[in-house]
Amino acid sequence: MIKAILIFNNHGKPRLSKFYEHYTEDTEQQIIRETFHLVSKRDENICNFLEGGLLIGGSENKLIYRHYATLYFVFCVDSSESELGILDLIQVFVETLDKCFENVCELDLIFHMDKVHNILAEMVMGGMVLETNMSEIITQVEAQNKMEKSEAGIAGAPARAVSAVKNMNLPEMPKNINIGDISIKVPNMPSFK
Amino acid sequence: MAAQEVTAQPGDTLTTLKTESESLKTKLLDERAKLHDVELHQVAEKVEALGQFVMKTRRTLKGHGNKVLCMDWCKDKRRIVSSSQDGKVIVWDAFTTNKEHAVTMPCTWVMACAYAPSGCAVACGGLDNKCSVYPLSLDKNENLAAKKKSVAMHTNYLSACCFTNSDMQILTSSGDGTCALWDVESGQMLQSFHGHAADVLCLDLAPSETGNTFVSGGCDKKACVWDMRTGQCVQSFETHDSDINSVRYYPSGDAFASGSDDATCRLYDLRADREVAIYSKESIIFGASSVDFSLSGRLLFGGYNDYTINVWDVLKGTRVSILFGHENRVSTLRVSPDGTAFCSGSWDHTLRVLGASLESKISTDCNIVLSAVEFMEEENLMKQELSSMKEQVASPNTTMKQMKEIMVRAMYCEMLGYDASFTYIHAIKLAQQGGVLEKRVGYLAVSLFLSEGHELLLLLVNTVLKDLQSTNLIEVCMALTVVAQNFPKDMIPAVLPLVEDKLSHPKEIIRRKAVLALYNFYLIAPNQVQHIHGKFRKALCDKDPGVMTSSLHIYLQLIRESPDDYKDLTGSFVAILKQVVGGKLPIDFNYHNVPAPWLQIQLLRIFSLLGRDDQSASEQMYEVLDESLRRAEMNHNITYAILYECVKTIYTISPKAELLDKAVRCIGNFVLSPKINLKYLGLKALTYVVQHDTKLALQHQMTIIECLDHSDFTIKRETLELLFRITNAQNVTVIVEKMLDFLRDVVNNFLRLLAEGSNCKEDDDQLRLYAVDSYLNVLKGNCFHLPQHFLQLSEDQTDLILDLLENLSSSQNTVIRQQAQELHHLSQDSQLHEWVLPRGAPWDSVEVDSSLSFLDGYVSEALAAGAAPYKPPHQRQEELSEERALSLEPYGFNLPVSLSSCSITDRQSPTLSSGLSGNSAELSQKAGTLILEGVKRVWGKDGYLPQKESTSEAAQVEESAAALQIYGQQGAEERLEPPDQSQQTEDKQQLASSLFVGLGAQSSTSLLGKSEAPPPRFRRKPRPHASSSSSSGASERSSESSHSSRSTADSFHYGNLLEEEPTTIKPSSDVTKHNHIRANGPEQNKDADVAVETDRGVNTSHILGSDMVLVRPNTIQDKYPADLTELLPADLKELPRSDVISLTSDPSLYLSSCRVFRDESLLLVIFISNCTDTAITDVAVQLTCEGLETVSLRGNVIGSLESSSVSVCHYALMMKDPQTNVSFTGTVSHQTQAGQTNSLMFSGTLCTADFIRPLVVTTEEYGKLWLSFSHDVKQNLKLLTDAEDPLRATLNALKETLQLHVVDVIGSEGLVACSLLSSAPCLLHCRVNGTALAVWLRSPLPALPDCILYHCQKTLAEL
Repeated sequence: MIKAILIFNNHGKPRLSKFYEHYTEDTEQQIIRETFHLVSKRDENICNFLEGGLLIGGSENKLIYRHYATLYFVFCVDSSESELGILDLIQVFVETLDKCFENVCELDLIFHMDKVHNILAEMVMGGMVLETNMSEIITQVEAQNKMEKSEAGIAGAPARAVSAVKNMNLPEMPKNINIGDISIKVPNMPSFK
Repeated sequence: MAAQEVTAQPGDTLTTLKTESESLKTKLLDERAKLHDVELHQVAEKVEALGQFVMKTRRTLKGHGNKVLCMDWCKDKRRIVSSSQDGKVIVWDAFTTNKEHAVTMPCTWVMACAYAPSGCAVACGGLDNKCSVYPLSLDKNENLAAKKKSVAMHTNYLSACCFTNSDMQILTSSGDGTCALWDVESGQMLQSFHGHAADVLCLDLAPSETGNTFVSGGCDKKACVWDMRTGQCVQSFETHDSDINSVRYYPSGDAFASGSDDATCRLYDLRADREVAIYSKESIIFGASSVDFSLSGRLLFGGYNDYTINVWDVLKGTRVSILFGHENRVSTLRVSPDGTAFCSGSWDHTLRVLGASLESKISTDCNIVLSAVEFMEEENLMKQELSSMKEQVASPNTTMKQMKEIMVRAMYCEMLGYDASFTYIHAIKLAQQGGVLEKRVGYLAVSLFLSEGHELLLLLVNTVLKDLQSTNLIEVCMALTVVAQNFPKDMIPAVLPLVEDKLSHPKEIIRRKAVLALYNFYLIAPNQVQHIHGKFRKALCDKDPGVMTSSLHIYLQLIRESPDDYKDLTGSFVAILKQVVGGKLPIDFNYHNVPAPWLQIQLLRIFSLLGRDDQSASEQMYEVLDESLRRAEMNHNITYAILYECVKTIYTISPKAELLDKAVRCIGNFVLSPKINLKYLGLKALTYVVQHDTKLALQHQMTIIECLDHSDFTIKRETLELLFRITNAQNVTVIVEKMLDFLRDVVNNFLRLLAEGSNCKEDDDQLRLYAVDSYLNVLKGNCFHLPQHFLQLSEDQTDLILDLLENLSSSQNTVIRQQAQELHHLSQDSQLHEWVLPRGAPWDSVEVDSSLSFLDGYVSEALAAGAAPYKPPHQRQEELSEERALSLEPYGFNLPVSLSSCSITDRQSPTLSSGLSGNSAELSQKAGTLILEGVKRVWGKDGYLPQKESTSEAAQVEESAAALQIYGQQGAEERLEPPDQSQQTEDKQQLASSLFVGLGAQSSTSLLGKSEAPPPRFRRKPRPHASSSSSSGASERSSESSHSSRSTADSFHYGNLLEEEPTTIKPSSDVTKHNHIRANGPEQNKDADVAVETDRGVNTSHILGSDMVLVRPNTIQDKYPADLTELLPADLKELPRSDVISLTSDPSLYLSSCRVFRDESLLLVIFISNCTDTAITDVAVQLTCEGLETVSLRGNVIGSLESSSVSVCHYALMMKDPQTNVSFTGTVSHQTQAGQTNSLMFSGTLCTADFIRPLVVTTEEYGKLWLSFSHDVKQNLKLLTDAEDPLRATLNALKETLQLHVVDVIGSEGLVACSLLSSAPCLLHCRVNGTALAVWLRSPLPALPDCILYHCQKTLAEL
């Protein structure tokens, strides 16, 4: 499970922090600082994994990070996640940000904090990877943006009516996977009471 | 302009022209004034004022002997170059205040200096009118002046210089009124800038983005902006009332500031083309000598002639702060490139580095590049922001839309660590009441602000319920997101049915989120979702792969908890993976052409859980795992991620050989990958798989060793983890040592931090307290050593320390007790403490008088009082070893060096032998060499394989004549190790050998399975001293008799070679030799009394008649060679035996021996021939042989030996502990007729081969025996490749010399068996491996395989 997602710049200023486990606010700030200390000391050409700091659980957790220009993207995960998988997830996240903001930069994260969080929410939910498909994420985010624009148009209309309209606009994405030979008869399962 | 030219008639007088120009000037001023619509400070009124801030002197750089005139920062933010009136240019390290370089210039008054952008050179100049460039090298001793390069040549003093953006060009300004651009390499002037009417005093280059301009100021009160390309002055400003001492560009490049002797600083805007601000105060009456901007440009630092530094607010024009400290004029001032500090130089001969005092929130770690000023601004801004937000949210007029904006800002504030708790309730309100957009922000804020247990969350429950029922998808999504993240446990039953309903929602995105929400419920309250496990199954079968992926999260968790309950799903999971791998998913699930990689990873993890210890489940997976491995071949990170999971799974589930092979290959790819991430994973995978098969680590020995020294901390740790897994009895010492090294590094860093502390006192105390505390915790367990620096802390934490003292004084370790004692004293005597360990000193600045000279007084006193003088440890040890020589035997360092080198060279591991001999001195001083020695030796058999093979082959080629073997070997060794091969590689190989010992070498051996446990290793027992010394004495004798020029050691080792030598030793020559010796002088046979006695014998024989003596033995020699064996008892005649060799002789006796091989023992038959023509009486033979057991003896006492007759005596010998060579010594005492008692010493060598008997077993028996033996050794031997059937030829050769039994030859493998007499068997498994014969020996006796191997090698080498 993903414990925390942190983005901070080269100076250690947080640009996004999302914790999937509960910490007090002070601890969260300390975790960011600690993580920055750990990560910023590392050269560019050494590996992208390191053990988490004391505050976030020490050696049980891993920090997986990528450094893009002025920003560090750090995922703190426990042992149930694949390191390389997360590393690519960061890549997906950044690429998605890049597409949504058209050449994302540090300022975008500052001024569109809510958007960044929304994108993240489409990817990771409650510490679990929800979606890794970039186009899918973008579709979801765009659907919401579209709603934003249209809302500006029909400002006065009752929210419910508006949402009904929007509901119809959502694009259908038919996808199918054939898991043919799974034949599970739910009622016959004796093991669950 | 044209019009003016026309009017400028030649008749115009100078005065009219002057008025003309004046009017033009005013016109220009008017034009400029038109642009001036508003004052800067008016514009800046709205800007928040800067708060108070404190800057403190962090470092004082002392060392110049006169006024400091100029300084510059290096781009590394750390080094500073400064120049002084004393003619010195010094490069400082501003962190440590160390002087790194110093150059003495030929002239005093070095008025300008500059650091090159690369940091590799400095430029300086002054009254010498030149600008000189000095390249800086790392070699501190190098004379910088020698590499000096004179670049610029002015006609007056050099006032300032500055590199352009490369090291190759330099700008200078001079007292001759010009500036110039020079090429550093050639020293040529590229461009000169004329325009100043008087001395140019200063210049500054524009920030690189803003182009090729620079600004200069001079004594003509003018500041000019120049275009470097054209050499033209593009702008000039003339508003100062006196000389301009300093100019500096604004960080943006749009403006510049100047400092002048008129006591003002001014700001000129290049866009407005005019002066925009004056920084002056009535109280400031002295000129400004130097100016610089803070990194943000908000602050202007000015150094003044009144010894102060004034800090101006650039926008408001007010003075923010005034900094004191210098004791004379401030002559130069520069802000460091990162803006955290600035450095000022003064006429008081010092430089000071000042830094802002950062709030305690921000650590002062040097790595944090954070401008103090910026931080101040941010904090102010934030406070302001928060208060305005507070106002707004409280106001009833704030609309939802505004509230949404506020909420986003509040989120930002919270993220930066500012408390915005007053917005929490509004976030909930927003989620409750807002439209969809506001709701979204509201929910987001709630999920960020409120944690699971927060009471306000209860207010949200109804909103969530409502939204879950909403028809708007987005609202449902939002509600599910918030439910999946933080939802009060008690409220789950309320929303559970609704979330369950969503599992059958038509939109897959809703279903997917519902699954994850349920998963979250399962995590926080597993009991409440018991009943919906069936729905999870439905989710797994969902037609949308996304939903199915989400459900895998749940299954991974469930299966982890109880794998047995879900075995029935194995088939389904396999089917899913099969389809995914087979590309059945829609194309948009691909990531870098890999279908749904994350899904695959998830499934593979589930597999490993399901297949663990379950053969049937595993069997279902094999096919798809194979497929996955095959498909994942593209070189992208994500495929490696899948591969890694595959490998892990393959090794977790019940094994299948074919897959294991593939997995091992994968790991190899990982480990050898140049990509550091993959290497890390490779190590991790290796760590995982060595638990199953330790041999796998062997293939990657060198990589592992390299990783051990990797700069990456993570890799290092993982390597140590791996080593930990392969720890066994042999390598444990080395591995633990490695780990301790690592820990020491960590501890040292920690202590450094502790001793040096940070800048903030409060922080320091806290940190130290914490550190001491945790240290105590560590020490409570076990204390190895208490570092010195710990003492430094005693002052503050006395009570803690007392605890520690208690702990430590009871320690077993004397060193710790001593330190505890010291600590105790120090804590009681604070004065002493201060003196010994100055507080806050850098930790390595505490000088330790290692010679302890201050104790000299005590020492001499004690000596006078009769104390024993101090002996260094090694001396003590030596004495100790002298006293108890026997007890040290197992440590092996009293081993005759030649023995070890012999046995080792013959085992063909040159690296080892050189390592061993190199280490021998060191070994003898260390305790615990016992294990180390064993460890290193064993490497000879299975260590670093690739290198070894080539060396061993070559070594064998080198081996030629047996007598020259050692020299040849050594020579070969030297040649084999190329001179340029670094010591490092060698070290690494040695390390490898010691680390990977006991892991079993050739996993490729196909005949038999893996060994269960790493077998205990053979450790060679050193030869007892007694025998070695006596044998060397004896061997001298034999070399004497054989006329060999070999050294004692040589003949000792190859003593058994004597066996092969023809019996050339003739009494006649012997006697001649004796005569010869006598003629030569006594020193050659001074060693033994025996020798003297022999001489006496010679004497007697001479007395008796020398002619006879000369003839007699010859006759014996002629007479007996064939006959001697005839004398053997009848029962022995049939047995195989060796040739008769002569042992020794004296004028009366001639001794020879023969070995008879009996099944249960070796018979050493000694023939005693009387060479005299009189009878010899009371002949007694005594044989001593350490290491062998005498079972029986016959005929060792002979009453009378007739003239020219031969007596036979034989000893039955047993070998209990296998040794390669055993020497025996003996004496024959006899009485001649003259009544004199003579004794004759003899000696000889027996080798293991003499004790080896063929062991006749069948192949089946062999197989059974093989498995039951625990001690094994592997080695490559020479293969007789010229023979038709190399394997058979080699085996036969071995069989002939060593009495082995060839059990079977199967293809390229041969089974050979033998036993040590009738007791311990030894099995050899030989396999043709290219041009070498890989031999694997096993035996129940630890030393036997080695001995046999030794002889095999010797035999083959001699062929």
